[in-house]
Amino acid sequence: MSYQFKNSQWQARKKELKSRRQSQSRKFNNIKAQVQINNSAFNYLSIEAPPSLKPAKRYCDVTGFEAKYKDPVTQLYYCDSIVFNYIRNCPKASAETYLNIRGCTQKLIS
Amino acid sequence: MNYMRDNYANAKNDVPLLIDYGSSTIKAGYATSQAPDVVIRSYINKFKDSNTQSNQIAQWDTDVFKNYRSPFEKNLIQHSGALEQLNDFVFERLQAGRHGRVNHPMILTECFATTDLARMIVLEQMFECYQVPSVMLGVDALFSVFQDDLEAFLKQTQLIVHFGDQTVHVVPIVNGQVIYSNIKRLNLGGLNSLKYFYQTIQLRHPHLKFTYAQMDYWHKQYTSVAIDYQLQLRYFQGPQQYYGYRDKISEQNRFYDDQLQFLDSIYIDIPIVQKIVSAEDLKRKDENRQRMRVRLQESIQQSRQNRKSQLEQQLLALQQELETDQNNDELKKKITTLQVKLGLAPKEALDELKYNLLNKRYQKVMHEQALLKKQKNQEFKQLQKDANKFKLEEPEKYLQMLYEKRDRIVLQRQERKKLEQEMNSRNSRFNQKRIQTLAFLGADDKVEDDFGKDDKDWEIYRSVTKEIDSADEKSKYKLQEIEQELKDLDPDFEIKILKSIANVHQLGMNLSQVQLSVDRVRCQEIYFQPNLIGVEQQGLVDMIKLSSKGLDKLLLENIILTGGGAKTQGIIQRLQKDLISEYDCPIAIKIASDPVFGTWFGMKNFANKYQGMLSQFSISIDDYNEIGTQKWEIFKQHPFSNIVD
Repeated sequence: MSYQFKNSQWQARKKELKSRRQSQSRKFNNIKAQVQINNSAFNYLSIEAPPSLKPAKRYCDVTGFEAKYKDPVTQLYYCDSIVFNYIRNCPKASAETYLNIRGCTQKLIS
Repeated sequence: MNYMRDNYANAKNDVPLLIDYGSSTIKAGYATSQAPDVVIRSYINKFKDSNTQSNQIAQWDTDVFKNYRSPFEKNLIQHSGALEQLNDFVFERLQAGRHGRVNHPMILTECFATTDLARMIVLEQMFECYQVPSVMLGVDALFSVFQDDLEAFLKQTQLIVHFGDQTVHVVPIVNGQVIYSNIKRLNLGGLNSLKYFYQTIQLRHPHLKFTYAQMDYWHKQYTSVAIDYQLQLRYFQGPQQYYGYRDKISEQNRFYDDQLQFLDSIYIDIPIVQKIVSAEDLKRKDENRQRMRVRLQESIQQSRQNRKSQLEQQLLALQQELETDQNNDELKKKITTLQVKLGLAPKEALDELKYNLLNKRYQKVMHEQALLKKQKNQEFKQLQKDANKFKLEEPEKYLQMLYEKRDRIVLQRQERKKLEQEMNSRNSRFNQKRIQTLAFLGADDKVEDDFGKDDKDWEIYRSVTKEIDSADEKSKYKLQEIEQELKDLDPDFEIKILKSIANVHQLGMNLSQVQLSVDRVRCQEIYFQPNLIGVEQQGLVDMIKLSSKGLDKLLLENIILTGGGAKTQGIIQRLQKDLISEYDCPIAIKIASDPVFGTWFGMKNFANKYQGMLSQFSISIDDYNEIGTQKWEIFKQHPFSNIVD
């Protein structure tokens, strides 16, 4: 499809630009490398908020209430015995997705 | 469409074209028009037709979490192909160019501290593909608070909190100077909130299917920021938990109670969709079925006839053999069986062949068995009658009996499940015991081996077997039967069992109802506790503390919330409550006049009022051709720019 507002030589030029960018530096692949090229005090990574100093509160992964306990088998936090029974009986895949939501990317061993 | 054409024809070549690249929506339009002319989602779907493969701009209700590509990654432009398609769409809608070029000066937005690659992609595309005369790059958060007057803007002291779709920025401005070293970014936004909401609800209700549009609506309608998250959670948990907690801590602070307005949980019924079949369809299906039946009957008859003719031929052959050798008993037997099969002889002829001698004895046994069966039947009928009588005369006792039965079966099943789980894990007590007994049995150092003298010795093997008896399925069916009966008899059954104490959280119930309680506040809480979704960064309050550190306290009196996330309920009250406890100076927070389209209107106001400055602030195509994107000299410094000396 060709639009009338586009440069007719753009398709060829695009390939050229892309190849030049690749040959110039492979560092463009991730954001960290892009920032190293920039090399000033004010850059994309420097303005990121630092990790918190306060201890993180634990919340039940299933219900969302405050959690006092942690299940050693599934690594999930839970708030009472009912949730514990549910966690133990639910399929392993859903336990893993609960973990993934919280940012824990570990695979459960049977 | 005609109206639009007329409208755009008025736009002359020197009218600036404004595009706000947001990571959720792109807003674009001419500086002369009243509102943004084109507002689209910045997502692209690969649309597969039978013949052609082409790309499609995402609709407003399409599911963004599945198979959609976006030019943005964490608010940075990274994919040039997707950006080009979006730009094509925008310029075609605006009818912006002719003869291989878009002849308008552009004002584009970028995020704070964009990387070189992101800027390069945008500039290369604008100058090489569309051959734009000039491009001005500005930061969206700064444009969003720009009103009318540039001089007033350059005197203001304010703290901007910009809620994007994938990031949140906190920007301090003192006397019009952006303090670049104190800008902080949080790597989450509205999209993460929506995704969190979606995932948690879908996980709790795996049997229901939710659409993206539905979830988006619920997210906008029902969620809000909790003013006191801990108290709100206890309120959801139930009156016991809540009042127990309150009594201990703050019985005296009555006035605080009045300020808090707790959210209540919402119950949403989801109707079960049934397919409505029209009468014509039913008729057609019936006709089809009848046709099939006729065909089947015909084929069965044919096969029967074939079989019959085969048997008749066999019979003829056997009879011919019999004529030659008449004393053969086996041949006679075969002939009679064939005759019975063909229906020429009665069935009793076969019995005579089988039980020549034992016939009388056999009849006696059969008679006794039949009597026994009758007796059993009668007993069973009597039992049923008694049960029915019991049911009618004392229904309450009968119900109680059923409940007891159910409880017994449920207990049994739970124990069996526990056993199964113990068997699976290696270090469980069951498996350890089992291995001990096996070792004891296998030991050689016994002096006298008297194992097996007593019959009870063999029972030890029962404790060693790993197989569980197959009564599990039987008990399941029994349970289903009893529950069905209870449902029919007792109208309160569901309340008694399903909503009893054993199921406070409504887990695994497969109801056609969705309860939104903690979900209403949990998904918005991620701004204040990012570790909820695994982002290891400070919350919003700590960020504001950090970025206003060592600066004028006037900042805290002018906190402005912009971006789509600023529209969530309760965010001002929450921030105020948390910040008051940290500082002893007055704090004032307000929401920008138009949080979503504010950036575009800021750009419009700037372009209309300060048209003379535009050429001074923007990169022209000649500059680009001469210098290229590699060097810093090409970027211009202005009140909205990203550039620091």
